Amino acid sequence: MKKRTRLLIFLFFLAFGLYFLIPTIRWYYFYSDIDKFEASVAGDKLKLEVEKKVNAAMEKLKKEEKLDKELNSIREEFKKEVKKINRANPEDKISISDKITFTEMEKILLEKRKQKYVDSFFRITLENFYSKNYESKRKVKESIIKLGLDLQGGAYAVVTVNFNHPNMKKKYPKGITKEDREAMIDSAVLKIENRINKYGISETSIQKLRDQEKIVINLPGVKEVTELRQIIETVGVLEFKLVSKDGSDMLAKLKREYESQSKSIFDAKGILLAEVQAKLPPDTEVLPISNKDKWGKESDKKEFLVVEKESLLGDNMQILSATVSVGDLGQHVVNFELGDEDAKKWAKVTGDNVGKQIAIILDNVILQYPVVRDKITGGRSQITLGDSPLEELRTLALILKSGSMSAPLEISEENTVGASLGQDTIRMGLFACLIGSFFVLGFMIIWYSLGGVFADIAVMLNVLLLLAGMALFKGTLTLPGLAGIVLTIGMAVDANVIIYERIKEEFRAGKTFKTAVHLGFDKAFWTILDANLTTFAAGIGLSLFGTGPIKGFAVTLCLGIVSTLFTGLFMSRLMFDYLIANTDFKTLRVLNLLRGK
Amino acid sequence: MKTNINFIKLRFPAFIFSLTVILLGFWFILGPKNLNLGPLTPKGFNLGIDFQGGVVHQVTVYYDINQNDIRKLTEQAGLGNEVQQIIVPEEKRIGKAVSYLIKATITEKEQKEIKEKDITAAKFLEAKIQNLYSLIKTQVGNEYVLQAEELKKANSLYPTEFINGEIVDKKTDTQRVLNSVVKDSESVISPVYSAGLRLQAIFLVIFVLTVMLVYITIRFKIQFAIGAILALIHDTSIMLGFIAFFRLELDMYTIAAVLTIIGYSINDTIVVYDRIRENFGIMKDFTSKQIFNTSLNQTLNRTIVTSFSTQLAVIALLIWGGPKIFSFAFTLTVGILFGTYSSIFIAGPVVDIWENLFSKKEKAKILKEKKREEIEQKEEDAKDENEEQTTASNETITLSKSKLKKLTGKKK
Repeated sequence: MKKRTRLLIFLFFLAFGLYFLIPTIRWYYFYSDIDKFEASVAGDKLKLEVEKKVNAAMEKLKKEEKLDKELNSIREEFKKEVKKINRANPEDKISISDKITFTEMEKILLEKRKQKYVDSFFRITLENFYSKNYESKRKVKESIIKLGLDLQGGAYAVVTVNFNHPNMKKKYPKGITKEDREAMIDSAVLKIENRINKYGISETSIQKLRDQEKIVINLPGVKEVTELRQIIETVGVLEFKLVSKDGSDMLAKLKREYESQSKSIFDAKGILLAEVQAKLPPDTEVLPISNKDKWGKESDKKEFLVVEKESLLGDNMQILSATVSVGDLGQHVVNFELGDEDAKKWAKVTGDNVGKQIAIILDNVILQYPVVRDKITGGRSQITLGDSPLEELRTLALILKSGSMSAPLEISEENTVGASLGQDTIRMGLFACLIGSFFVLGFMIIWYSLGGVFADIAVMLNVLLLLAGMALFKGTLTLPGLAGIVLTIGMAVDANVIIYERIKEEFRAGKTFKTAVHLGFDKAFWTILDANLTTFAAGIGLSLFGTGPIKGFAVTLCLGIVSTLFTGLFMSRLMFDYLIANTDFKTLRVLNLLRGK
Repeated sequence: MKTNINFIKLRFPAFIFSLTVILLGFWFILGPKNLNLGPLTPKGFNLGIDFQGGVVHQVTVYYDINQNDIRKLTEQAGLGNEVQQIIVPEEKRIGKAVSYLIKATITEKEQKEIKEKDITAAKFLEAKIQNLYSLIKTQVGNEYVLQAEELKKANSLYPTEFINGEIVDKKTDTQRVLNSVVKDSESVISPVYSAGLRLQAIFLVIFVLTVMLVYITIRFKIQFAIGAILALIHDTSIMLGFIAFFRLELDMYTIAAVLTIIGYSINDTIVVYDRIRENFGIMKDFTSKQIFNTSLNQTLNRTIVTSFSTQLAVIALLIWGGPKIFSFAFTLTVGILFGTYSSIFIAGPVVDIWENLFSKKEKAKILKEKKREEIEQKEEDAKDENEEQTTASNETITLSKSKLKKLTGKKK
């Protein structure tokens, strides 16, 4: 390859590395605490935050205070809206200037649209504007190198299902089959997800290790492990409750009334206002209907239903089986079968309430609310759900089947690190890292002169690529990972050392400097490749089988080897080729600072 | 820098040295625990809770309470007596804060108790820790009030955010109130799970060694693979011996350090092997001993420079990395030292011994070499007699000279 091509390849990799590192640099060095907070809110919390901002902005805008960015985004939307209006009435066109004020816009819109529509038009525009803002910050956050719990603080737990629990033996006298085990673990994951989503932490990760029957939960930023324990040990409760039609209608009416006055029927903490509750039928409660977006996260916009407080079959019913099948009309249906006792109760309940809706509730969230068509005797029930996607039905079946199992969960490993403790660790770790690299880089220059400078450039690029690789593969930097980087710096110079020693050897054997350099690189190539590939093979194995600190370490190690090979064999060679292109050195001075010969 | 050290000649002293260090290590790991030999008493591994199950808990007490008092209280609460003070730097200290690290493993007796009571290990330990908190509170009081100077300092350190353990409702302009005892960090591992981790660690080490055995067999020859693996087992055993002797905690982090050294040492070994393989091609008429010595000397510079530069990085970690990283860095320092040593004195010589034992070609070469040496010796003697030189030239020097002639002759 020509030198220029190689230089281009090098520049490409440099740009590539920087591109993936930019979010990380922005995040850790340029983002304020507020930005970081805004990037991490999700779920109900996010909705509240956005609402607060929208309210504040609306007030400011009405007073014509300066809010350029917001106003600009409103103007854009407004122009589209005006186009629509103009298309409807081509005779009477509205023309607008670029610097139209908020009050003017409001006036124009009010002439053509209803008050309610105008209000919601501005609010929705602002909502979109702010959510986009949050969204972009969250995107930055998603592409940074994350810090492990030991460096950042937070809680971590490994959860297992206790299959030896006495309750389990009672329920499964014949022993638990493999499918049952899997279903129980799946349901446990579902339940934990359901509960954790309420906390509004966006980086939570819940990972299922199927082979090992373990669930790994990461909750960065959660300070108290008791919170985590609550989440895990309060197992989700599955209930059937009767939907109160009068109550729900009443609620919908109230909600409309409140919203037209831009108020919410909930207070800031998300609790129903007492005055609303008082207007609903006695012994009822308001529950949200599950509304997951396409990524499986609970969406912010929720509908509510009023249900009777009393649970129809208690909170410990026995569901023998639940499956998805094809119904009479070719549509998918969920079938489930109740145990004897519950079947009798079920027959009575369904008989009394034909035509009414029954809500299926998990952890106080309504999953479905089918209508009872007939009295169900014998315990076999069938739920037909319009055109719901198959996936949703499967989830429902899974919840029905496992919801009553209340598989006892057990925390087998648990780790909390205070945030300040993590900060101290990372401060010291980074300091040691810097000093260590300084030592190594300095030593290389003392030992190898100009060759040392080349090696140092290669090492620095090596670290850059390693970090970029971590950002690309969404790696997490842990304490051993940090140590791994230091070690990479120490070992990365090895490739250069092997090459330089070889060049010296060839030169001393009587070759010219140019030939010695070529021979040195060629002969060292396989040595370096062999030496690194052995370690690489082991590293891949570790990242496959290891968990926790070992895994983080192995990923760093493997990425380090790849970038070492690139910088050592490719970069250094390029630099040397430029060096010897025009001059042929008579001595080894470029490789020996102390001993010129 | 050209060296000419006869490494192969040094192999038996090296073997004896290694064996002594390894056996000493095994003595500290496996020896009878009830002896009393001062510093030589075997104590076994200081297993971290990763491998034994239990709790490590860091607690801050905002009162001046000394380590002995805390230790008494932890014993009273049934959390053993392993208490370690963590130094809080003066400029970061709030009130009279002291931090302690409390480590308690779950004994077999306690495991039975957990089973009988049918609770989780986490709950079992949590109860004990709560007990400890209330014991500390009865001794020092429930709350600590920051006023005057202390308040000023606290406000400058934590102007807006909360201090760990602060009772927010009681914050006013003249005071901030803290819970007297606060948890900083905690990690709990159940005994059942830790048994799994123990197995995983052993499995991982064996797995890595196997992968390397296979790879080297494919790229080199079986004898090279065996030499490399022996060198790695040598390094691992010595590191484990050091870990046991210095009572460093053996946990997943330490295993990560051991695996790192395995990677480092194999790197070193392969570089030497690669040169040996190359020289086997060039120096066809030479005995393996000579080839090994030449190769080891040729790569010696590189071995030392790399080992030194890596050691520089690791020593920075050792000194400035903080307490959490110390045992990790220490294991690495020892490992790099012995990893370098083993790639010179163990990995090469083992292959040489194999060649001498099993290779017929090698035996023939040695015979030929011996004969040649005898002839040369005779010539030498004759020369000496003739010229009546008082200092007899060294046999090895002549040898290498003649060899050099041959080598350069061949190249031309």
